[in-house]
Parts: sequence; structure tokens; C-alpha cells
Amino acid sequence: MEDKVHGAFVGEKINKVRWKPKDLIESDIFLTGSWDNETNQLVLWLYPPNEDDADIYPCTIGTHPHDGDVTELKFINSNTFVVSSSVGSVKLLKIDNKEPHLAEFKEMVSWDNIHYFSFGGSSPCTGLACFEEDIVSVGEDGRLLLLTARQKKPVRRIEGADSCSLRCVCFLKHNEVLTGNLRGQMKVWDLKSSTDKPASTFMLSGEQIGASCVMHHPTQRHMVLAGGEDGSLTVWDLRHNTFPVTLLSAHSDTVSELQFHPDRPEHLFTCSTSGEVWHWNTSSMSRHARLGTTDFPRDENPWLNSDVAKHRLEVFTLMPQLHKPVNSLDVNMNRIVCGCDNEAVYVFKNVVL
Amino acid sequence: MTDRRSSNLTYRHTDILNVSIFIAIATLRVRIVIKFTIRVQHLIDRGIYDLCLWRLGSKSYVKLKMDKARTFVIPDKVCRRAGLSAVWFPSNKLAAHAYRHVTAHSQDKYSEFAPCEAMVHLVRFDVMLFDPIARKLINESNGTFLAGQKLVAQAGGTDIRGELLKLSRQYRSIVRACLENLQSEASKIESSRKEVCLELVVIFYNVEFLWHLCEILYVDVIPGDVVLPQIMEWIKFHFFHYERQAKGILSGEYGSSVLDNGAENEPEYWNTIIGLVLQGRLDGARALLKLHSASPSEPFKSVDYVMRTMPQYSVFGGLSLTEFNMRWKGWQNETACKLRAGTFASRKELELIMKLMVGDEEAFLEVKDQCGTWYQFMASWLLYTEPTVKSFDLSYHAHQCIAKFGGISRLKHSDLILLALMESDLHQVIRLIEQTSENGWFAAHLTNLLHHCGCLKILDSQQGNQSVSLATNLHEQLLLNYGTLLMSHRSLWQVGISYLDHCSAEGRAHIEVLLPTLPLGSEARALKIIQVARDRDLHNIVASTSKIMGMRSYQQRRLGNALTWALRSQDAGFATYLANKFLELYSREGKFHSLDLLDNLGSCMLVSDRLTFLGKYCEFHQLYHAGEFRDAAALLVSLLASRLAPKSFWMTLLTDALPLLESNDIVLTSEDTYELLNSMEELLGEGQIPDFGDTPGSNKLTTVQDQSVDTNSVVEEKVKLIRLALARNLARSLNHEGCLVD
Repeated sequence: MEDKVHGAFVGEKINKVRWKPKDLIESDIFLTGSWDNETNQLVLWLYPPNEDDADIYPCTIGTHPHDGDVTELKFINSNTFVVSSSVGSVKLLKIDNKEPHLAEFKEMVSWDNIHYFSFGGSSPCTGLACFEEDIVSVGEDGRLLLLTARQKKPVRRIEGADSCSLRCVCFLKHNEVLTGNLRGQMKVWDLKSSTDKPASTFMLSGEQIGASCVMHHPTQRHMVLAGGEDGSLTVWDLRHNTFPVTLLSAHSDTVSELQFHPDRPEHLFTCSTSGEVWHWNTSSMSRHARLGTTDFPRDENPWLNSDVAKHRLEVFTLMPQLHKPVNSLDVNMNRIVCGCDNEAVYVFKNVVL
Repeated sequence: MTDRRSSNLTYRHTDILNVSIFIAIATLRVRIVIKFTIRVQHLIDRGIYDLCLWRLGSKSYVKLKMDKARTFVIPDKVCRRAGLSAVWFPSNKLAAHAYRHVTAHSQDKYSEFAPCEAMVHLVRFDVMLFDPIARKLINESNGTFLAGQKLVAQAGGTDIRGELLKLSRQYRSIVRACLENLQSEASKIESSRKEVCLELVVIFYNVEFLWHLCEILYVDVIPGDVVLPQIMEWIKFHFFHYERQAKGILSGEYGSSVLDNGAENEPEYWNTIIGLVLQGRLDGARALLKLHSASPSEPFKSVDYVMRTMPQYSVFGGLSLTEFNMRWKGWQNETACKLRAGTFASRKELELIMKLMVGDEEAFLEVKDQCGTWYQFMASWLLYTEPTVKSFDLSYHAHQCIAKFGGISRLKHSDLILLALMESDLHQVIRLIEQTSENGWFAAHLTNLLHHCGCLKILDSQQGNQSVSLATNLHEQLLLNYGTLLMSHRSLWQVGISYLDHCSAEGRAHIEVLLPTLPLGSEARALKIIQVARDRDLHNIVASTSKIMGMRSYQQRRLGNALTWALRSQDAGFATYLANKFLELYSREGKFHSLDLLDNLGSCMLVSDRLTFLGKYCEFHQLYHAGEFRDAAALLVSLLASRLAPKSFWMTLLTDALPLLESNDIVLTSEDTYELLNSMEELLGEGQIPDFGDTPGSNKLTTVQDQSVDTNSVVEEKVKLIRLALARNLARSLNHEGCLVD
């Protein structure tokens, strides 16, 4: 396993890392955003998939200074991405990749200071979610903003979306978003509704465990997975009710990010501030389901079959536990990149799917 | 402190001014006078003027080196006129500002400098290690360091020398990678960064050079203690000038005449061969000699033979030490005979080489300059006089060779370290390394490695029996210094913590002091700091950090978030305070803030009684609005009966009961009504009625008598209404209950 991990020290703590999407073929460029530095920056790295030569390291092909910590990065198409900052702004940037080894960043739209405290300065923007060109951002100020890549003026703002700091957000449908806050309260918002009230509210768990990340299943968007500050994974089926279907105690500390494999949703990847990177494989469960050897209904999602499934979840660790938090990971084909607080990025090649 | 944007001050670089700063270091309880030398240079950093750096050293260092005081200029007009004062800022910073002495007798008026732009200048040490390229080294070596500690912890007494050697090599490869990065950076740019990079290259080259020898002498276990082969490797690795030249000559780079006229026409031909011989690279020397136009002649053939047959000691060569020595002596005698017989007399250069190879002192003195340094000289000398020298003899030979190179007084700093290494005086080694300028990285990591190898135990035996082990002390002190230094960096505090973690005696105390001084910033950063504190069971830091975050939210008037932080740290006092604020706001505005939070408190409302009441009261409202009057009524009564509600709030609760008492269906039983009556009487009996609504912001109790007539009449009216409703409900409920019994 070890030889498939490739680490490179980058000299700044990485808060977010994303592959630059490329249609149908493996992406060879990823983007990192740093945090906690005196001057933070966005860096574009070229890492060609080369099986023979093990000594190729990711090399920088473009940098862009960033005001405040990079709190989230999301690509909305193959060369445009949205970045949120701890100074309360969201920016839409375009990568101008004229030459293979030289890229430039161009600022398309900048929504400055959209997150702020009514009494006392700017508020960090903590999360972003995108649905095509729609962007929804949340911040410590409890505001929820709907933006669109096409205009500078926010489409909608829900002022007191939460009385606590919002920590994560994801789109359920084109008009529905789910937010999670510092105390684990999850709210579903209907963006078309004229009132500033959530469509439904539920808790991550009975205790005051903050929600650190939330993600829907790529093909079954009603199935939502959330990571908690205690390292647990919670699964909901939002079609039925708002009680968790499954609660898995997973990592030993905050789940910092979770990502489904975009093309193979039976694979899930999680990382945590305890320095772990895990690969969850549910394909054996799905296979059993297909063969009809178990009691699952045919089309059932294994994540939603709590009791039976728990014992058959296959979990692999992708590398030995790191001594510093792993903040972010992203999946592309069979390569995974993750960014950590030990100022390194690690790329896992040939992850067995 | 002026904001950068609003200030239009420009520094005049000609401003030169001598200032003495008196700094009282509270922790040391001494006054140290530091003279700042003048040099105008500044860095503007995050809106604060940072005057960058200039090595003041650690506190103790300042004390020791007072005579080497340096002066810096603070470019500030006000300071120049008024004088200057400074205080220590957490972790290695000085905050300098204009100062005027004020006593109890000073007049309270504007100073003669007003109006002026008052600024605080932060002066901090220039830490070379924080250079972007060197930062990679910090983090990478941190991984190796932690791997080492884990290894030792798991070994439990088994021999891990082999593993430690691997770690030592890993450290060196990290340094070499850093050197490579620095060199490529230096070759790339033309700006001032180039200078910094080259300076760092020199420092880290030296580090690697010294570490390598240290590894040979102390970390690597060499069977039979025959260190010379390793030392030769070390010399060959770092001094490759002659090898490069030889390659040049062999590949014909020096001219095309080699094959026609012989290579001896190359100007550096003989020097290169002698250089190769001195480093023991005999294969190279032979290859070069073959290029000589007279190489087929007899003297050349003899030299080739001598070189070919020189016995090489190798641990795995199958020869015992005595056997090797015999062969070696035989070979040298044979060569000496040839020399005496004049075999090489026709060729002066060959004769010199042969003399070197039999260890002729005069010949060695002749080529002394070609060796460059005393240690290269020593290695060559030992190679041809005592190839099986033991490491404890190195000290003697080192002194001999140093004497030939002008004595101890001409040694440079790194030479002194090498000498101390050969003398096995590790204490001196570490002391000297500490004075090198890479900010403690080298000393901390090397000492740690040596500590695990058990090399530092020698220090203790030398120093006699002391209650506290000197070695452990030294080791820990270096780690503490390095860890503390990292903690002073905005971003590297997590790395710093991992060093302090491994200081058994004082590390925890240091973390306890340093962790709370970190600026919190965003919640994400605060959560990371809390996580670090929680992992180390530093509950008071978890609590205080949560409290700060809570207070910050409170000051931003975000009661909901403040309460969340209070609940996270189970802070009952703060939760009570916030619950009171919520109730106060409710009394004033008639609606609750942060209902999304209050309606979903769950079991955590049990943290404080007041919060429980608040949660339950919100629940009452929820039930009431949902139309579940019976449950609402029961909850209301239980709130009063259990005395959970604060007295000041009873009147509000009783008023809330009014519509329930007056509802068409009977929702309050006679028992409930008695309970309400009881509460009412108790409240009125004490003569205390709260004055909510009149004086916003206070919830203190005032007596009825003190109230204005207006308020009094309102309250009296309310009491009357409640009494009436209670009486009517009592009648209805008794009637109803009576019917039920029948």
C-alpha cells in the first residue's frame, strides 16, 4: 500500500484540496487552498499520472494570493471554481491554463463581505455548496446566501438562518439545501419558499456534537451522510423521516471531510483531524443484494440498511495514522489527494475500487 | 495601533536614533537593558508594523552576551521626540511604543506631542527557519522526530540501533532535500531572496556535514570500531573536487591532446592524482596514470602494482584485524623497499605519491595545502599510517593535525565542533551546535537522536552522580527551546506542541502557558486549539477557550452561539447568565431570540437550573401554540411547583396561566389551581413584585412600595384578574371533579 502513497511538502497548511475536473479522463491537476498562514494562497499543482517513474512530484503551475483562510473550494466546471474565505467573502475564479506548465487565475466575480456580524466585523464563511451555477454559502454569522455565478448581487439571503454558527451545507435538490451548525442541528431549506423558515429541522445526535461536514449520495440525493465532531458518521433517508437510519462511530476525532466516489458511489472516503484517511467499500453488500443472497430489497442502498450492513462494511485505512489533522480529500478516478496540517499533500494512486 | 490603511506615514531611512529600552521581564524578575542598534528596516505585516528582526537570542542568551548588545531603530516620529518603552509580547515579541512617564502627580492633560499617530511596533526575532523553503524541513523532520519517539516507546528495551540509524539518515536526506530546494531557488531568482537562500544553503550544508560525522561516530555501530573507512566515505562525500577534475580529464574535457601527447600536459594532472590518492580513490588515480604518455614504463607499472595490491580493510572482507594488519605492514614494507631502491627516482611525482602511500611525514607536509583542512589531512594521514585506527584515538590525531594547521586558535566554529566530536565531548558539541544559526533545529534533533542512542549517558558519568540526570535535562531543554520557538509562529504551533509533548518534566507546563496565548481567530482555528487541549486533558484550557469564544459571541450579541459555546464546555455559570439574558430579552420584547436553539435544547438544558427553566418555558410556549393546552398547563404548574422558575418570573408565569384558566375546557385541575394560588400568595406575601418592562436591562427585585403609582396599579389590576380567574377555575374544576367522582 505504502508505495502507492506519494507525499509532497508544500510549506503551508492545506485546508482544502480539489482535483480540477476533466471530462472522462483522469485529471492531472489539483488545486489547494491554505489556512492559518500570514498570507494564504491558492496553488495549482500538476501531477501527471505516470506509472513508471515514481520520482515525479507535484509541481506548482500557478499561485494566487488569497485574503484569509481558504474555507471551501468547489469547481463548478472544468476551469471555474468558487472559493470561500474566513474574511467573509466568496469569489469565483477562472483558471487560465494556456500552457501546460503555466496557469493564471482570473477573478470573475467577488462577493465581498457577504458574511458579517451585525455587531463586530466580518464573519468567516464556513461552507459552500454548488448546484450547476447556483452557489449557496453559509457562515459563522448564521446567514445563508444564494448566489449565482452570473451576477454579482446575491439572489437571496436568509438573515437569521441559524442562531448558531453554520458549519456545513449541501444541495439536496436544485431548490433544497441542508445546513449543519456548531451544535449539530440540521436544517432543510426550501429556497423557493418565501418565508425565512426551514422546511424541517433535526439533530445530528442527542448530544451537542457539531456537524463538521455533510454530503448527499451521488445518485440517491435523498440519502445524506454527515460527519460529526466526535468522528461519527450519521446517515439519513430524508424521504421518510428525520431520524438517523444509521449512526456509525468511525474516526476518533472530527470527520473533516467525506466524499463519495463520483462514478462509483458504493465507495466512500473520509478523513479526520485525528490524521486518518479511510476508504469505505460497500460494494460487497451491494453485490450480495444483487445476487439476492440477503434479505435486502434489490435497489436498496446499503448505507440505509443499518443493522445488517454494519457488520459487512469494509473499511480500509489508506495510510498509517498521521500525527496532524487531515483537513480535506478529493477523489478522481482511482486517485485520491488529501491535504493536511503537517503542510503536506498526499496522493494515493491506484486505489483499488 | 494604527490601521495600515489609515496611516500615511513613510519611514525616512536616514532617521537614526539611539534608544535604550528598559525591559522588565516579569518572569525573570530582573531588569535587562538592551541597547538597540540602529538599522532601519521594517516589514509591514497584517496591519501592524513589524520591525523585523535581529537576533536578540533567547533570554538567557541575552544575559550571557550582554556585551554584544545591538541597537535597532524604531522609525517613529513620536518615539523620537517622546522616548520609548517596550514590553514583552507573548512568545518572543517586543511591543515598542512611545512613552511618557506618568505618576500620581502628573497633570491629566494632552501631551505636548498631541495630536499624533500613536503606534505600537512589534519587534520580533528573525527566525531563519521560518523561510518558506525551510518550513518544509520543519514539517518533514517533525514527522521523523515523532516516528523516532514512537519507535523508542514501542521498543521497550530491545535494540533499535539499526532503526535509529535509518532515522539519522532520514534526517540527513531531509536536510539534503532542503538544500536542493534552496539551491534551485537561489539559481532561479535575482532578487534579495537569493541572498537569504545562499545564506541558508551555507548553514544547512554545514548541518549535514556535521551530522554525517556524528552519525558515523555515535549512531552507526561499527564492528571492531574501525572507523576510518566510514570517515573516508564522509570525506569523499563532501569533497569531490578532485574526483570531478579526474572525470573531466578522463572524459577529455580538458583538451583533445590527451591521446596524442599524454594527459600530463593538463595543468591539474598531477594535483588531481595526488588529491585522489589522499582521499584513497586509488582506482581513479590508476586510471589517470594510464593516460600518461609514459605509462607503459617501469616506474608507472610499479606504482600501478602498489596501488592495486594495497590491502583494504572491510568488516565483511573475511580478514581478522591482526591478519589485515600483517598484510598491510607487508605491503607497506615492500613499497618502502622499492622506494629505497630508487624504483621511482626517475619520476619525481611518482616518488612523492609513493612516499605518501608509505606514510612519509615530510611528503605529507609537502602536500598539506592540497588537503585544504586539518580533518582531510588527518583522514589521509591515517589512511596510510594507521588504517585500523579506533575512534578513541581520533582525538590524539586530531590535535596533531590541528597543530600542523596553525593550532587551535585558528579553528573556525565548525572545526571546533568536529574536534569536540572526535574528542567524544558531546556536551561541548551540543553547546557549540546551539550557537549555530539555524534556530535550534539541529541541536534539538541531534540531541534527541543521541539521547535515544544512549550516547548522552556518558555525560552523566562524567559529571558524577547528580540527582537529576544532566543528559535528560539538556535534551529536554533543547526540545523546549525549539518547541517554544515554533509556538511563536502563527501557523506552526501544532508542530511546536508535538515537541513540547516529549518533554516529560516541563513540557506540559509550557503547553499550558503557551496554548492560551495563541490568537483564536475563526471558530475553525479555535476548534483545532480546543482539540489539541482536549487530547492532552487540559480541561481548563478547553473551558477557557470555549468561554472566550462564548464571550466573543455574546459581545457580538449572538446569544444563541454564546449559549452553544457555554454548553459545549458545560459551563453552568455562563449558561445561567445567558439564560437570564434570554429571559430578560423576552420580558422586554415579548418574544424569544434564537428559538431554533431554545426549542431543541434536549438534555443539555440540565447544565443549569435557569437554563432548564428557560428550555421548559419555551416548551410551554410550543405546546400552547400547538393547542395542547392540557400538557401546557401541566408544565406551567410543574415549573411553579418545583420552584424551578426564578421568583422574578412568577408573575409572568401566572399571567401566562390566565388564558388557560379562562379556557372553555377545564385544563387545570383543582390541585393545579391550589398550586397556582399558593405561588401567588407566596409571591405577594413577600411583598416582591418584579419590575420587568420598566427598566430594561435589569431584573432585580424591587418592593411594591417603591414602585410608582402607575406600575402599582397595573400590577394590582393583574393580581385581581388572576385571582378572579383562579377562583372561577377552582369552582369549575371542583364541580367537574365532583361529577367525575359520582
